[in-house]
Amino acid sequence: MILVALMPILILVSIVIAILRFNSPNVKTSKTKLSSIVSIRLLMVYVVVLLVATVWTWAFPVSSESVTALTSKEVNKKKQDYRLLTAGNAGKMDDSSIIETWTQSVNDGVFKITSKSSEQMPLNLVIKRIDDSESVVKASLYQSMVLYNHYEVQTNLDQVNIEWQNDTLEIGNQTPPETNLNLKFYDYAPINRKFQLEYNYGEFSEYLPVLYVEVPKSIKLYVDQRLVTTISE
Amino acid sequence: MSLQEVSLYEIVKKQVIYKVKSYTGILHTLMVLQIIGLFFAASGNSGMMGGSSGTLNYSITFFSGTAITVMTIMWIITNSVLIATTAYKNDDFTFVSTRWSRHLANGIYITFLAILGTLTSYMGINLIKIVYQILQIEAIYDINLSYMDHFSSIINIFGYILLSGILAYFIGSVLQFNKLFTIFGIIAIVALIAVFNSFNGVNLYYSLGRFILAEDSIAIFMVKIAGICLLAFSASWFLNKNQEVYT
Repeated sequence: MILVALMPILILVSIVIAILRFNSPNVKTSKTKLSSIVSIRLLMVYVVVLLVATVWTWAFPVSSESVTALTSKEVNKKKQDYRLLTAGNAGKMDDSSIIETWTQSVNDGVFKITSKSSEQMPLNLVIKRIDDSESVVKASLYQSMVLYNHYEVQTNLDQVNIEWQNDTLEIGNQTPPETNLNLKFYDYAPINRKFQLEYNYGEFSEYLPVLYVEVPKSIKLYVDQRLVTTISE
Repeated sequence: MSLQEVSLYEIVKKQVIYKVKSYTGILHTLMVLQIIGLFFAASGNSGMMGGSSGTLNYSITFFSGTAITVMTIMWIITNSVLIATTAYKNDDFTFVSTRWSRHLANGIYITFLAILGTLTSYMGINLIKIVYQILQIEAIYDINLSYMDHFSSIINIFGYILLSGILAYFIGSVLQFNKLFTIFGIIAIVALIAVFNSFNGVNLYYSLGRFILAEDSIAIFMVKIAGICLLAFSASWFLNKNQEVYT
């Protein structure tokens, strides 16, 4: 599109230059110097530099490790798995997305989950009541993720402050710091349009970390329901 | 009358080699303009977008080789017009040559420039990638292209550059044919198109450009480019075939 728009201007510029240089015999003195060895060598150096840069970028792709290319099918699967996780079914989630796991024995048969303030929770809290005779609470923190169409971006939103104090789990009441994420995409102009059609850089989904807490049914649970995303039996 | 019969192929070959070796200023200009284009491209001027979601602010910058390609197109337009001028024509007739051999040599030389411009402009963007990679400034992502994507991209750029060069050569030839005719002709064409646009409520420049350049099929695109180039090149020949060697 840019080229199409610029084409008439480029042609007009060339016409102006042509009229200015029209039939000037002096042009050849500055343009046709026969001592061309240095110039050709200079051009060769320029081409070699570009060639090395091209080979380098093919050999060592520039993609940052924090950005993973996913197919649309993989993206949909991740979304589906995340939905299941927040509904209390962690079975589909990959273990590699767990940041940390805690296991705590509860002595008095009472377990509390608290938050220091009523501010918005920095994560999704999912509680699953399980049939277990042992008085053990297990909590797993699943990382956050950002899905930008075909790309998954891990962010530092995983930094959630969680503290265990005997039988009480306290979730950090601080809102996670704002993350500035700068992505840079490279492409080539002639197929820009193709990318825009195929990739449609529009859909942006951010998924907060999930704290998945498994609590035996035998244990009494005290928790402010406003903190909880899902309680699954 | 000469006792030695000289083949057209040999004459054209010598002229093309002469042009490649002697018009060194053209090569300098290419490097300078493409380096300027690289700076434009490095600034990420091809597009930016951003927004926020919850606690996340995001900005996305798109880099593109468009600036380098545009600079290369400007370069080939300027030089193709210059090649058609009297100064360069006089140089060509220092050889044993005919108008046809000169015309052919110019066509091959413009094609050579287009190939050179295409390859250098296509590879130019990789320099920016390396700089960002070494500096590790921010998260970057390079879209993986297939070999077919690379091929079609190179063919596209070549098509744009060659078309620009041949059209500019045609304009240069028209200027050599008759200056007054050219100036009044351009004014008349621009005026007619303006009248046509205003009466029909269309933008003929845009429609024409879109018809030629915005083609999804690479094969049809190349057929269009080849057709227009052949037409313009033939027209240039018919305009100049009866001109005097020295004017």
